[in-house]
This record gives sequence, structure tokens and C-alpha cells, in this order.
Amino acid sequence: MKLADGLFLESCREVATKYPGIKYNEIIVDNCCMQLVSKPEQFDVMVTPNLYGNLVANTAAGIAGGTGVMPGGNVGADHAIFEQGASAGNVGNENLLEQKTANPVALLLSSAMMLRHLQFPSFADRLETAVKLVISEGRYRTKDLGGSSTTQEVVDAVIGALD
Amino acid sequence: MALMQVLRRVLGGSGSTQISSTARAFSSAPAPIKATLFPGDGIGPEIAVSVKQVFQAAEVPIEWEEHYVGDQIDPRTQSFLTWESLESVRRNRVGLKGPMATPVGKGHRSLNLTLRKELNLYANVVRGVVESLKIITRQASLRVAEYAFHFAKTHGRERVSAIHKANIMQKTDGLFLKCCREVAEKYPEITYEEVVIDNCCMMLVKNPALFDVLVMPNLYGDIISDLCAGLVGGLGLTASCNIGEAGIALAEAVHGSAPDIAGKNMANPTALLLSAVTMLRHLELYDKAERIQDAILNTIAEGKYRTADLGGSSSTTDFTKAICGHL
Repeated sequence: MKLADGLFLESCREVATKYPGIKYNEIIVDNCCMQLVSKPEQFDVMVTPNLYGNLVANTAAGIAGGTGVMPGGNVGADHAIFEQGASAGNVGNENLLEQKTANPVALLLSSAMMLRHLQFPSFADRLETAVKLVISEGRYRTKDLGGSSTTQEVVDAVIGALD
Repeated sequence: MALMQVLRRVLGGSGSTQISSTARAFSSAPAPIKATLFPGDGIGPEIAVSVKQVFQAAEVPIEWEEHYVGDQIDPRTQSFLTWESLESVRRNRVGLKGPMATPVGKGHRSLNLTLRKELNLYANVVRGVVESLKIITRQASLRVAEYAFHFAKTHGRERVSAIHKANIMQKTDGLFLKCCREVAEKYPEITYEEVVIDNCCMMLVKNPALFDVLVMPNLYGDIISDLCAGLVGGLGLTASCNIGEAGIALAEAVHGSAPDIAGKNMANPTALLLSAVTMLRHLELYDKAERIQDAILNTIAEGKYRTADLGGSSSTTDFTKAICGHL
């Protein structure tokens, strides 16, 4: 898509020249998806137009553990709203609501991102550390992570892990 | 006696045993089907030789018409692909294509695009993913949806999933979905579902077994087929086939021409071989197709002969010989 994506790339290149210390490269989205599923560690920061961004985010979420764990944020010039990074499968899932087994990790980590954005890094660190501890410990996990805990149990565990 | 002498001269065999076995095959085999072969660039010619060898060992009744990309633009096609080569595919209705590197420069169409447009190839099949090649129109959507359901039915598949983003692109993807629904009604025995592409990406990565046959517009198709290729081991192993009007089919290896290993007898011919198998299925030579596919998979599974990209150290020719041995 030479005109639309061409303009996007031109703009990226312009900005890249202002950051000579940061490596910049371009990759076609088809190839990118393939690389993501076979060797994701080659990527660091990715910038894309919105349509691809959704696909890439969901693919990455799939590899990293699912929509239940991936945080995200929407940042504008004057405002910022933080929410789960990938959307698939959550909206309109009645079961999760009834059984109260939705995974709170994604939103918790998103709120940590928000704290960082508000320049409260130590609060953000504390929250993130607690969440990561609970996940790695493995005792309190919702169904999507292979466990059988409820939302509340995971949250209580995170609170308990806060130092 | 006289017949043997004639056969020997015509077929060029050396030993008498070889002649008699070829004579048996010659008398009972169906008339060979002509197929166009575009070996392509880079590693293309080497892996094309592998296909020819395996087909010969499996006694596939195919006669190849080889065509190459020229080094000058043919004014009749506005491309490096000559008019004769396109006519060859139109006439034979079936072909196999290796990787083609479009020469850098402006003022001419990409080779792959030329092929698709000139031959009106509207559906691309990659491991059960079908994509349409035109901007979204009712006609094109119906056509590719028909192909998807027909493909599912003839290959014993149970479910077709239409991949879309109609929540955002209501007019274009909305039209696409409407067409898919229309066709789905004609195939009540096949389960039809619609999945937003974001979900699809995630589901593919977490549990690809949830899907069977996928149908979608071209933009998503490119992305999803590459994603699937990554999941199954990369483009070096992926088979693909382009379907056109009135039963034309052009199977192709979708990997690149790998100029850095060209001519070194290192290339993995699996993608082109599996694409050739797709071509055989299109020609309804199911028996040969299964035999060759089994031979390829068994060779890879055995692990003794693998090319470098699969972690082994075999040459193209050794790997090909091993496949022939497994036939």
C-alpha cells in the first residue's frame, strides 16, 4: 500500500533521524507476524498504523499468555487512557462474569502503566512486582493461566504480596 | 524385438530391465498432463530439479513446459514475463511456480502481480487458508466464499471461518460477510462462523486446532498465511496454490529466491514439492499426491536427511534422493 503506508514510513524515518542512538528498521507486517511467532525476541519496540497494531498486539498477546495478562495504554497529546492491550475474547463473555473468573492481571498492569505515566514510578514498581510474584508463585491463577482461582482470590493475593 | 529397439531410442534408457519397466508404465499410464513450470530465480532452478526428480521417481504423468523470466520487458505483458509463458499457463490450465525476485525498478508490474492479474487468479490456498485477490466486491466475495466451501466439502473439512473486521469496516467487510453467509446457506452440513481478525490472530497462536478452513479478504490473508507459515516451521515448508476462473491453478512456493545460497546445492525443496503435491490434488491425482507427500514427511521425520534450514547438513540433491527412496 504505497501511498498510505508509504507516508507512514516516511514519517517514521523523519523521526528516526532525530534519534541516532536508537536502531530503526522497517518490516512488512506479513513477515512481522511470522517472525513474531517464531522469534519474538528480535523485536524491542514496534510502531504501526492502527489496523496492523491490533493484529500484532493480539498475536503478541497470544504468545505472551493471552489477553488476560497484557497491559496497554492509549496516549494522546492531552489525555491518556489505559486499558488491556489486547481485546480478543473478553467483551461479551458472559461466563467470565457469572463465575467471577476474569483475569485482573491485565488491568492491574495497565494501571501500573498509568502510574508510570503520572510519574509515580515507585508505586508502579511495587504494583508490578506484587503481580509478577503472584503469577510466578502460581498458587492463585485464573482459568486462562491454567488455574482455578476467582478474580477476587487473585486480587487478594496481589494485595498480600505488596510490600 | 523391434518395438524394444524403438522404445530404447525414444526413451533413452540404458538397461533392458529399465526399458521393460518403462514399457509397462508406458502402456498402462494415462496420457501425460502438460503443466507449466516457472523455476524462478535464485534457488528456484535447483528446487525445481528436485520436483522433477521426485515426480519422475513416482511416475507422475506430468509433462513440464518450462518458462523463465526474461531480462527484458515484453511489451505485450508490460512485464519480464513473456506472453508465451502466460499463454502456456492459460493453455495448460495448471502450473507450478518457484520464487521470483522482481527486479528493482519502476515502470513495470511485480511478476507475482502480473501472473495473478493476467490469469485472473482469485483465490490463494495456503494450508487451508483461502484469500481473495480483488478489492471487495460482491462478485469476488461470492466467488472466493464458494471456493472455500467447495474446498471444505471436497477435502472432508467440517468448518469454515470467515475472518473479518466488519465491526470497524462495516461497508467492505460487511459486504464480504454477507456474501459468505449466502454461500454458507447452501452448505448446511458445514459449520460456518465469523471471527474478528484480532481474535483470529490470538487464537491461531494459542490453539490453531480451533480452526479448519479460513476465508478472508486479501489484506488479512497475506498476514494470516505468513503467521500460519511461521507456526508450522516457516516459508521454507509452506505449500500454496492460486486458483483462477475455469479451473486454472498455479501452485507456488511462497518463499524468497535466497540468492545467498543459490547454486550451492543447499536449498530446501520441500515448499516447492508440497506445492507440486497441491497441484496434483487439483488434477485429482490423489494417489500420487499422497505417496509423494508421505515420502516427504517421512524423510523429514526420520531426520537422517535434512537441509540446513531444518538443522541438518544434507544437500538439496541428497535430500531429494532420500525422498525418492521413500516412495
